[in-house]
Amino acid sequence: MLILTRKIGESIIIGDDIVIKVVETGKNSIRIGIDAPKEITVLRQEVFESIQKENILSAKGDKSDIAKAAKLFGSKEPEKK
Amino acid sequence: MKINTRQFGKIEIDEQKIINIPLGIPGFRDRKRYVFLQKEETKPFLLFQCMDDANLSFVVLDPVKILPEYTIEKKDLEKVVSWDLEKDEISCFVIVTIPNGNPEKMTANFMAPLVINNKRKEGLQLILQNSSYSHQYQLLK
Repeated sequence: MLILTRKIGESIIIGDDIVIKVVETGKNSIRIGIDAPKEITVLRQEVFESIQKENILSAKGDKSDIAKAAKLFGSKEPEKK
Repeated sequence: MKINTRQFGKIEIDEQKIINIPLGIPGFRDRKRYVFLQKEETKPFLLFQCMDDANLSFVVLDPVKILPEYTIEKKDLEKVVSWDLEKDEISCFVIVTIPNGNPEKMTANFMAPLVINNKRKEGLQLILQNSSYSHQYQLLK
């Protein structure tokens, strides 16, 4: 891993268009600002990982369980027409 | 055209209805073409089936069936796509997780909805990282 020292207000640039700036530092945390093109997803790592994990679980759904879930769901709410 | 699906076997697909997910879905980044399938026995759920992988499908649901006030904010979408949000028709779904053998424990991911631009036939999973919505919202309470 590349490790750089930066002061508050200083930035690093990744590629041509991703800028990461140190905005504020605290005792155990720092605030960083990120400028990146729209097609680059910027997320907290733990958020990304929880979504990824949930997607993988969701993709394992079984056909018979889907039909059962649909029934359970249907009995929960009266059909509106 | 016909495609293979794990849940429903061989199915006839209208090619006009194929949705492109240019960035893929976290966990399945290289899978980019999907189609919505609806079967009587799985209503109100839909199946978001990958065109290129019979084994890959997600159960999805219209979020307002659970949380009528659920909306996606324009500013969240503007950050990640260059769609014409005034003109294009946008749909939103939540991905449902049904634990094997325990359908009563099903949850839905309200933190990362599937957002589809119907005009462009393009979509993405929008991750709302500052949202207070759960990614494991219990559907049966």
